[in-house]
Amino acid sequence: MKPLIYSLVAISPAITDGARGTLLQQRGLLPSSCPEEWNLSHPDVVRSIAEEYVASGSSVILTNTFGASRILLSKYGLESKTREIVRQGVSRSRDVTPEHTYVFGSVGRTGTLVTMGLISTTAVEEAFREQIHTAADAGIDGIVVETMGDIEEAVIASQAAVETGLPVVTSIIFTRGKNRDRTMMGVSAEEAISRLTDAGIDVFGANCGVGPREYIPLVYRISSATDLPLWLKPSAGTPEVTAGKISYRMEPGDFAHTVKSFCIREPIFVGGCCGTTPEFIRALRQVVSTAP
Amino acid sequence: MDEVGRLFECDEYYVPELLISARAMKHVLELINPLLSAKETRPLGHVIIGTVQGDLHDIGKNLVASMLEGAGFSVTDLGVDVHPEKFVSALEHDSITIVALSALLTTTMPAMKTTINAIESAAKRNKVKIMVGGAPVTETYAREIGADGYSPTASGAVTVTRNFLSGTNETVDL
Repeated sequence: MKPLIYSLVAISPAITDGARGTLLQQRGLLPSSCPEEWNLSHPDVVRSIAEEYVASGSSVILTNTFGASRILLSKYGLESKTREIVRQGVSRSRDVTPEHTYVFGSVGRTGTLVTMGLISTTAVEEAFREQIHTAADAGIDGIVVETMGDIEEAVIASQAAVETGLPVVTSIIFTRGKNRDRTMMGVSAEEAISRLTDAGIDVFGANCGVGPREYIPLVYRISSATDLPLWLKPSAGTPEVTAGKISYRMEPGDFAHTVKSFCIREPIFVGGCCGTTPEFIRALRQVVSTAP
Repeated sequence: MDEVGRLFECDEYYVPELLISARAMKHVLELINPLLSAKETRPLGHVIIGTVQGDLHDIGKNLVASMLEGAGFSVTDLGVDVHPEKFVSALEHDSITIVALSALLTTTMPAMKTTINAIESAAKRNKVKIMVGGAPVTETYAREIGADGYSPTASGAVTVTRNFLSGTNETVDL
């Protein structure tokens, strides 16, 4: 285990952060705009979200760089600004982290299917390498490859992340299978763990997709398949629509108690995905954390 | 394709199996259709499909398009981030009887409603059947915005489309 991971999970569960995208939208980001572009145009908003997570008790916060790969940014005509967007994203989280709070660079999916040959492996590899190495040079403490639904893409991103020598977390989105324990491509938790362990990752995880209740069988399954530290960030339930408004109905307290029920073994990192806010992290800190 | 769809619904098949089967079926149809057209047969129906304004996601939309093509429908794909007016102008072609709207983001779902409203304003609403889908979309939401059909899966979208047409159009049973 890398020393930083070891010290972070010395008192497990370690608390990470909550959602960024849904929070940015609450603060005025239009659905048609690029969330990562706000690193340049609305740095104060991006910084204040990071600050609120630190204040609510996160020991690891991520960066607003989830979709900051050349491939995804080109959909907004922003590919020439890739490196600047990544650097500024790292700085906005770095600005607010006190001692013993760490910044992990977020790397999300490119939005296309590598497995089905819809894009070349080389193009994906180059895009991830650019995003990850730029973030590493800008000063991150670790890398989180997250919300990956295609194992081939996850492996490519994880390999690029491992090259930096930094601690690497790879987190999969499990949305299919009878127990919600397979990816959309049908890959089981065990197959995912085996492929990513071979790629050299330090922490294996699952995030997004469903709420913490649906994570319970998945966490048991993952726990019995690996000794790697776990990283688990469920969404705040599944989104509901009432009178045209979309909301995540789960309350922070309910979320935290449900997360606690799957903290069945150590070492483990927990946090939240879509719909979670600093309130959810505060609840996790109170209900789940054993830290003084 | 019906069996592939059934296996997908019950978690035996996943996205790769669905895509490969749909691609195979599309090529098969390309071979069979010229033979059928000699007997003056037509496609089952003409669908326009697109991801609504503000949303750039297309994996689900492409899957539905492939499944519909595999099932014998003619499909025009308008792409992603499709403005409501672009859907409306695509309806100038009288052959189109079905509109399929996709959204992955909870925040872009309202653009489905805007698109349906635009089709209504253009006095085209009674000429087409509209179906909606995408990860956050529910049957309740579909009903609320006045869509005619909804499916939680790509294979289910084929059933919905067939139900739209059953008994009303000349069809060829492939």
